[in-house]
Amino acid sequence: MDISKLKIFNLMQTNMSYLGAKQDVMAENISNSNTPGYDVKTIAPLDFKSVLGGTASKVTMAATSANHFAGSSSKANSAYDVGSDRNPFEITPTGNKVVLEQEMMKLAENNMEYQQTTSVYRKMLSMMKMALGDANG
Amino acid sequence: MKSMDIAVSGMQAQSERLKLIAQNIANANSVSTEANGLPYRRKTISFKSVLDKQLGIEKVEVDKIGTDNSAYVQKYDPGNPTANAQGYILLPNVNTLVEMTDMREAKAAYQANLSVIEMAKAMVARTLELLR
Repeated sequence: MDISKLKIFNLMQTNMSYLGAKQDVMAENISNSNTPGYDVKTIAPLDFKSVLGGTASKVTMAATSANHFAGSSSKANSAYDVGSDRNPFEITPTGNKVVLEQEMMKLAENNMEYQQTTSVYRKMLSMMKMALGDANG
Repeated sequence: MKSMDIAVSGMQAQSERLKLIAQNIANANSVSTEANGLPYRRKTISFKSVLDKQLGIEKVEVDKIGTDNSAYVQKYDPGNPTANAQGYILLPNVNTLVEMTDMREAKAAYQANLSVIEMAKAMVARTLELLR
């Protein structure tokens, strides 16, 4: 049985992979907190509606021949919308827009959200196990 | 987890910076031993972000290690054999207070990167716990 075919598991997996991508973005920001002229990056919030409707996939170029490469932009590595923050909180004289405290806060928040999601995931799994007759579920 | 790679690059850059700060502080009193020689010149470091094409992420790297071209500190020391005609010797343009501030900043950034690794580790551990 493929549990990712169940909607709720699928949703939680999407959320977990989104939080993983968010963690990467914040890691980039934090490691570049002393780089002159670095733009702080943000990741667009997960659009719950499109996830639920299963339309979160990206638009890709149509291949009219089997020899065509799949078109890939620089954003191709990330399925999420990563961009630079339009109104940063603070800009240092060197042009760096990262506020370390803010990033740390977001990081902690992200981690908590991840914990939350995995807890729900475990609960759902144990419920299913219980239904299957495993009393220890 | 890509975030670990990113954080590691940040830590490497910050420790490189700390190395340079240590060098500056250690040489804060390194004067020339020759008559018209120049003392130690303060070194500076700057970072740049580079795109890791393989992973599609922006890592941080040391851009260039330069020198601080500000004026040397003059000290009146006529008894010194390297003193000039007016009795002054040149001291390095290192301000230990500035170096200490830089050191604190480097430390804070290093710790922040370390927390990123810890958070990433916690996330992976949580995912693995789902198997239990």
